[in-house]
Amino acid sequence: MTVSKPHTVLIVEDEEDLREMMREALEMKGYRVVTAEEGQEALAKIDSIDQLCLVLLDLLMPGMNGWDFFTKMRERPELASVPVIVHSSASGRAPAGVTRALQKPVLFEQLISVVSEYCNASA
Amino acid sequence: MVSRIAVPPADLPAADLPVTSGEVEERFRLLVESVKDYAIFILDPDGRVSTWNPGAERIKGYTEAEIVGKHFSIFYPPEVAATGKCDEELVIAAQEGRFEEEGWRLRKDGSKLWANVTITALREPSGRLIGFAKVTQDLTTRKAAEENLRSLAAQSAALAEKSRIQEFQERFLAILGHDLRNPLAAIDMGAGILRQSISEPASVRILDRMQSSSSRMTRMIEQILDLTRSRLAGGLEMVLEPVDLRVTLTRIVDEMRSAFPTHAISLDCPPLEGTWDRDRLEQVFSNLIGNAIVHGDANAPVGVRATADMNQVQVAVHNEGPPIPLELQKTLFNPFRRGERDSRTAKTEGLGLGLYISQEIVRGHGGDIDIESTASAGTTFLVSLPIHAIGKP
Repeated sequence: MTVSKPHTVLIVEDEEDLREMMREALEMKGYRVVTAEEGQEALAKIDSIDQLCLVLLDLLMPGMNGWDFFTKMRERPELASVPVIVHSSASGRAPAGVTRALQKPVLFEQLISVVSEYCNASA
Repeated sequence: MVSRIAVPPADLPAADLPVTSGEVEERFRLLVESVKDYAIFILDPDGRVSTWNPGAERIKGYTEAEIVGKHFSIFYPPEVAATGKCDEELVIAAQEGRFEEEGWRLRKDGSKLWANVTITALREPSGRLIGFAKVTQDLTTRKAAEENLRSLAAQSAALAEKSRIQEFQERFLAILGHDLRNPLAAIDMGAGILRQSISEPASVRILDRMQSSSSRMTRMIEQILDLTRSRLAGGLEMVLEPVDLRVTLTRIVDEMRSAFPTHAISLDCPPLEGTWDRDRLEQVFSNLIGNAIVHGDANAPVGVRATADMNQVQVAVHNEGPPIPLELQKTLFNPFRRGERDSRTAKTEGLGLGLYISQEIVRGHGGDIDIESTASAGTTFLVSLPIHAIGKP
């Protein structure tokens, strides 16, 4: 699938296998994907992301965790309206204000279905 | 060892004042009478009290007039005195010269004291036994301090053990809740990705099985996690919020109708606003309705009917078909019930924890689940819930 102006999903997830599988799944469906292992790396990358449509955020991560990342992100007006979907085993403790909170494991079909609600793969 | 009473010094230096044996006895009496911290008294050869000092009065509570002539077994708890222990002590003191122990004794007012007791045989120079010197020290305060220390040490050990168990539980829950899920999601996602790009039938079947297995394992992890929370971690936590039960039941029934398109499911539920944990109630009714579909008569509809009065909501999930045997009904809500594994069929998924967890959830809301199952009436699970559940304090 050729996508002229893809919307981009930022995946913040510390577990490499899962992070890379999520990337594969979304790229296969035509999304552009940027990944980060933890919050600090995600904050460093987020400015350079073109057409950010969604952040998929784990909460329990070494380095900057998902709660702190979400707070920092929401402090920045240009990022305040970007949807953030928490995917975590601690989804019940997701920070207030996130768009949705999904309980891990988020399986393939659910991931594709949820992302398609917020992002347009073939803009 | 034998002590002798009132032994006069043998060789006095010439410079010392001569002291008569009467004076020595008097000085000794004054010494004994001035001692307040020890009960020092003499027993006759039969064990009857023949002298008493202020220390003894202070420690034991008897005046001299009250106690002289009484047998010393009066100082022992009756159950101890009844064993003949007092006589044995005197025999030992007479034979070995001395008997010493620490033990419980009684004061006049019946209160107990922890005493260090020494009984020393008193003999004349000829060797004839003339009685026993008994010295008793009240160690109750020390004993209490020791007991206190022991009890504190035991409490501290118990706390450490509790903390160790809690740490283990938290680690166990973290493994179940977090560590196992990520690889599972990665496996499922890998199968999903390949499934999208592969059309060769055998590979498609394999990938479908991988995905259905990962879904099944996800459910099993959830069940074990719930079991662990309910059994070890203080129970399932309920997140109470306003819920319309009709909306919840409609969603579940719709999902079930899509998952089991050949099964008829009827829903009869008025708008029912209450305060419950929405996700947990969905879990309960998905379990009950799923069970009714899987285990009931495939040709008869499953019925879901909710009614309410002022305080209580009742939801009946009904299916036709053979009844649940009475023996099984008794243990239906037990986790990992015996025989479950053997009787499991291809219809059964998960770990056989569904009903147990459903019951825990309903009880967590302050409600209960009952079952009625007969050959003529079919099987009905009846969930009763307070309209406004009250969470744990």
